[in-house]
Amino acid sequence: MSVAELKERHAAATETVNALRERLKQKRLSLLDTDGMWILEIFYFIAGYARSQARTPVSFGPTDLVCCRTLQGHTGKVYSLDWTQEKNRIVSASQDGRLIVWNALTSQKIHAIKLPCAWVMTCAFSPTGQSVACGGLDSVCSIFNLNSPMDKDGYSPVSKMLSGHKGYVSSCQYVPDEDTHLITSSGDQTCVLWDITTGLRTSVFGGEFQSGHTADVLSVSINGSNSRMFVSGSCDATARLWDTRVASRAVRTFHGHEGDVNTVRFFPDGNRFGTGSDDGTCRLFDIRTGHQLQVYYQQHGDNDVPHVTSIAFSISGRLLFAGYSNGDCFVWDTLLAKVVLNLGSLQNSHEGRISCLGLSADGSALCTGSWDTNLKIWAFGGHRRVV
Amino acid sequence: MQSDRSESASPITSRVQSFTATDTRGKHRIQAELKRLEQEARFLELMNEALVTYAILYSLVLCKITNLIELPSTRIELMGSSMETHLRIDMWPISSALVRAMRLNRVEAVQLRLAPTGLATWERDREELEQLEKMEKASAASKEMLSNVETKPDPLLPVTNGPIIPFWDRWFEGPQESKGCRCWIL
Repeated sequence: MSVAELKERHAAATETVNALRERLKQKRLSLLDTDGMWILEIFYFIAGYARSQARTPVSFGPTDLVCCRTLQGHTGKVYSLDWTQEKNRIVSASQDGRLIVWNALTSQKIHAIKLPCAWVMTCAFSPTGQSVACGGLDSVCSIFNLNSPMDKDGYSPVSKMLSGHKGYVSSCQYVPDEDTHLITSSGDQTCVLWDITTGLRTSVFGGEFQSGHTADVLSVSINGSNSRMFVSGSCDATARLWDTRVASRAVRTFHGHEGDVNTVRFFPDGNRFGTGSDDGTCRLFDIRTGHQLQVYYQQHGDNDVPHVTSIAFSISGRLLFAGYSNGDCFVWDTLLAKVVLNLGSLQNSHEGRISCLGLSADGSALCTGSWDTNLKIWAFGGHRRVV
Repeated sequence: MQSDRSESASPITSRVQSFTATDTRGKHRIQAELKRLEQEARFLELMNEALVTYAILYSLVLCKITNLIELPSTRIELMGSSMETHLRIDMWPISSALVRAMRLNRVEAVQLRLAPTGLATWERDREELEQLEKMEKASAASKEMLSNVETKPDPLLPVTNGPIIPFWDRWFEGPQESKGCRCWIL
């Protein structure tokens, strides 16, 4: 074949690639969801795909998701809550300096623990439900055995103090199925895996000589499908995936947020996780590819964008509950990136910032905690249709 | 003296010498030009092969996006003349990735027609291909997520997969509001 012919073929092939690329760009643009979007470059992969498969958003009736309990008892802002894996118990932490363990079904208080340091920021139930952990501005994670009797001053004795962080303890979570190990995140830019039996640090993730977060770590979430993996969210606007066996560096860093990442939560299947940020968005990331799969953002009329304070997924992953600093609690359809309900606008809703969210182990109820000092339990009270 | 003699060499000899030199130079020029043309031809063949591979990859992704039905044979039409192309693993630079993608997606082949429009640069092509790979993975993740989400029973959804568990509705049995005294905790 002559050079002239080859050149001709080359030109034709080049032009084809260009034409195909243009067609592809048009296709990709047609997949964009620009409803209420402020950054048009963000690709809505899941929403686009779900729409192409003729999926429609979840539709709630006016009395489908209802507030069926209000847990009253705290006298300060509620900062954190956690459900037990079994039974219907919730532990909540408030800036009144107390942890309260509730029977969520009866709304009764089972335990009230007066804390040595009132500035508590986080709490967690152990997998067996025998003990609770909490941490805050004292930079210590304290473990309380719920079976221990109170002393004469009304204090429950601390069964273990996990000391080692050089900054406030922002979040803690027990390793699933182990009452002996716990992961904390801290304002000292690190996460720590603790051996509760010895009270010693097993591993430190990030820090001075390691490639980790470059600002306060605000939240952690352990993968329910593989407890060796956990994700952390930080004021450096990133989320990082860690393997407990490799503390020296994060497995992957996830970029995209434009503000502090206040909350991270694994998706039920363990292959994805959600984040919530001061930039007003929730995002969904894939841990295997590192891709941002979806952005959940609602356009606001004013310039003051409410921060996302806490998130939780329904048990199937179809719903994403997101609490906001303005008292809204949006229920997002994760597949179509649409707000299908705002719990904050329903009857009997909170009167302040939603600070924490959590789903019961069987997924039948959502608990919200607020700066209005109350916790509320939401459940499906409508008529369920089975497909 | 010798120099004088050499200077006064016969004009025919000098003409022959200069002709031979010119001839040699011409020969080298022709050989160099041939070599250059061969290299260009080789380069163009490589480029062409790569571009065809790119084109197939683009078409595959387009087929995935538009849900087109893939055709049973890979047919590439170049400037009206039809030729069969067999994808080889060693095709430079991305055919192995392409073959892998085809195997993963169970795409046997795709038909594409080459239509001339505009010009593309390699850098942009490479960037676009990276984006395509990203999109391909995201598309797979979306598909997987959709099937996962829709097959799991969810007590908080109005329409859900069965079975429905009566225990889900325990929140609406018995006392629903606690108005009891809270002073014991203060």
